[in-house]
Amino acid sequence: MREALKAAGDGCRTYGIVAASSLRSRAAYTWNFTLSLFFQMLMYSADVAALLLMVRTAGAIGGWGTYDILFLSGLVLASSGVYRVFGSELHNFDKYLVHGEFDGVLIRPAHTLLTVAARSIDVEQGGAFLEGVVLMVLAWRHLAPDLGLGVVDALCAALAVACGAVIWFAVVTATAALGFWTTRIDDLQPVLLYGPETAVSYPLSIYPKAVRWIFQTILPVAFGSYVPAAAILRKGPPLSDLGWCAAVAAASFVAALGLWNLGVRRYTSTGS
Amino acid sequence: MAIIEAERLRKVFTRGQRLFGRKRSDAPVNVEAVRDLSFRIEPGEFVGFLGPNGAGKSTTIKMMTGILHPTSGRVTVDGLSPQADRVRLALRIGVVFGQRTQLWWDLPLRESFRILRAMYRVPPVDFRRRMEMLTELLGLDAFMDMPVRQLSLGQRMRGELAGALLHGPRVLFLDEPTIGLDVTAKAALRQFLRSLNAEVGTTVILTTHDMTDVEELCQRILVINQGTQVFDGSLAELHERVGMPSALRATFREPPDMSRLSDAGGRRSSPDIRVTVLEDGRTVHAEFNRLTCPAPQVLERLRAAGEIVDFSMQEPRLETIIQQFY
Repeated sequence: MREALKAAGDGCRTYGIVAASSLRSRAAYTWNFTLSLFFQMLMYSADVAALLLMVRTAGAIGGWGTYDILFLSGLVLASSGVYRVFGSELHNFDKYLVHGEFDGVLIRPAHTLLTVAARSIDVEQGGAFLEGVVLMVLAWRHLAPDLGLGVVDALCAALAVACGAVIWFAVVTATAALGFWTTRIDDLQPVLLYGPETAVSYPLSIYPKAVRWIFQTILPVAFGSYVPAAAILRKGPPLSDLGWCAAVAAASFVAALGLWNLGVRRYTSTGS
Repeated sequence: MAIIEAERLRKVFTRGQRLFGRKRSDAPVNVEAVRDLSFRIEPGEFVGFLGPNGAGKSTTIKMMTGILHPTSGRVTVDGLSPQADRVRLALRIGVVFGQRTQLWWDLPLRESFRILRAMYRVPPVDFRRRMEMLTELLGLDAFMDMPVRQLSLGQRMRGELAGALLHGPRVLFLDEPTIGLDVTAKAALRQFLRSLNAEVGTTVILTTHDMTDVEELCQRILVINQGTQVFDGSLAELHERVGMPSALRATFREPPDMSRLSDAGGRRSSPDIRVTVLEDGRTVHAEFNRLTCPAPQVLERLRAAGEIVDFSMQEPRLETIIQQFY
């Protein structure tokens, strides 16, 4: 147990050094970096604008007003933005399987998931996270007086982002792990990742029962979006529901890790 | 104590396997990539694994480095099982794949080394000492601050080697390290590997298709074909077994009179020259075994067929030598 903790500590240190190195090397191209961030935010803004336009026209959907939905999509954007930065290698995991680059991961003295994640950290993809936070703050300023939102709620919002980030990271990891069986994951990603990302930017209450069930069980992304948002925005459920969100986040990461380990075992016994 | 021991190593790949549901009408095919391979390697040896593509060399290396699990049989490296003790073994071995980079593509070379130092938990004193030595021997200074993606293949290879040696591994595995390098880069790399093996005592396992690599580096050669070992010994012993297949090409002023060839020098009895006349009618391709019939002798015999205006030697190729085993 102590050895495992020590190994995890060493792994995190290595990861920290990779992160710092990536940041430094990107910072060398300031203009490139800034422009890239700017265009990303512009792109995400277009998505959000389309969504809001629809809500405006409809008045409200599922009992959620314009600013409620602004908060919800900000939450989804911010939390899923985290995997785009820290899970960029998992997001592009195809190349490891198609070109056999995973061999190089297995010769390193660390857990394979950590080794893959530490291959690169895509700081330039931070645009989604930033924009998400901006949207949440905008919505907050409008909603806070009416709903009487305070510091505790703000902390809960931060926790909600963290839960969402862990859940999305688990989904990205699980999708990458499926690649050990299917080799290509770019066909799976729209179904398991991009689709749900867009879907949970809307209140879950508008969907048929089956869809709600999926997002609260096998693909539990609602616990990083709709569920905490509903609690924070006083839609009925108590704030204590965030405890459930944290538990689901932890459980989904453990499950994804299990699937990953299973996949690695398959890789090492069949090879490329 | 042997540093690497392989006992009846076997690896079967199953192709055409289906993930879900019933299997396709044609049953999955089992391909035996490695079968019944046993060998022992002592510390400090420099061993070349040779064989044609698909012979099982890479699969064997992958089983020794913990990348693949053997279907059956046993392998230990430095007393550890590469599969059960993958992480611990990784701290004691270095691996370089000639065709793939292990460095951080977007970061300066120097940063890659810093990351590796943290990953392998290299104590600062050791790191400084090894870094100094590697920088000098491999001439890393000139491109230490360049991003890896901007390095030439030769520079990158030197970086890869340094990266694989930073933690002072006891065994170094090299999968075709000289592939694609120019003559000078190859020579520098060999020089480095020789001194690493001689002075530091690192055990080196190498796969290559380059005859010069084998001649200049490998004290011991393991030839693998179709998954099994067909030869284990020194280069001299290999030549004893299969000779040294060579070829030369001679151009005659007039189309040569081949009928006069066999009488030349009264050596009708030596059957070891195979002669073919090329399409132009004036150029002759002769294959022979250099051990039993030296090149000057071949030339002399060819001269009986007419006046030679030009000729060139073709170096024995590893593939040709290895082919003698099939």
